[in-house]
Amino acid sequence: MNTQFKKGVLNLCVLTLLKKKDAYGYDLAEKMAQSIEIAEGTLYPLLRKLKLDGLCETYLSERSAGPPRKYYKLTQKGIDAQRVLRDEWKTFSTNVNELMEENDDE
Amino acid sequence: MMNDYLNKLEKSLRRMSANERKEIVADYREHFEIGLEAGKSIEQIIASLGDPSELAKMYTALGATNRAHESKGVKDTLHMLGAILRFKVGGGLLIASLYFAALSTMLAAFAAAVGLIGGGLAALGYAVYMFTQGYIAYGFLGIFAGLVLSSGGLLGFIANIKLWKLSVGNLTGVAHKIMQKRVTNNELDIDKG
Repeated sequence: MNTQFKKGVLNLCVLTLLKKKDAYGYDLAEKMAQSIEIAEGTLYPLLRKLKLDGLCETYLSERSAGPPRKYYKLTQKGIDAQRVLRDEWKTFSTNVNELMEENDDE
Repeated sequence: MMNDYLNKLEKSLRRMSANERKEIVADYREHFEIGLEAGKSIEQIIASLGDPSELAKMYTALGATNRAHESKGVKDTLHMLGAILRFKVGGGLLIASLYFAALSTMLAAFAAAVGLIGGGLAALGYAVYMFTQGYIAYGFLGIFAGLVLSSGGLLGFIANIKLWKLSVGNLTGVAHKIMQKRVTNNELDIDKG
């Protein structure tokens, strides 16, 4: 898939997944890798940056078996940022799709 | 093999604080553990994660930029520039050259100010010598020259410090914005393989 396409929506995708429910890194990495084919390792720097910017926070969740997992949770600032990005994306993708339908004859 | 990967990551993160390093390595260790539990092989997990030294560059650039942005100190800013250049961020070279130009201009100006102060002190010494030898007129001339030179040097020194803070602060701010945009927001090298 075109790298330039992916870069623009990476933030939006992660924020959207986290808005639905708190998640741990592996879970997010796997979902992202399925839908937009990223190297899973690059998701962690992004998560770290989201945390530094105050868009999400982390907590440890104990499990009955095995070590605790680190969960990511959106802050209010993160929820607001998701809303802004989502609206921009919707307008943008609708416009591109319309242009394609009107002009691409295939 | 998992430990090889994590060790390589940890080594490549040597420019980050011990705390950050520990946190980052723990994230990847957790990733390995969950992957293994889910039935993946170590090889599969390593292939899907990507090269640890490339990941470390990303973290280092991100961490260095944030630190420089907060402290605006020379040391942190130099670290940040090193990280930017290693990560080959677009615009990194321009920022680095601007910064080094500012740095060398300032250093030259500092040296000039120190030279003036030194010259002033020498003139004062000369004045004292002239007084002891009875050449009163030369003594006053020496005092006058000494005061002018050293106060000029001192003023230059103080002005330099102010200018330095201003230009370094601004350059760090610009660099921080570029890094935010390019490295951590949209320009991550996110492709597989």
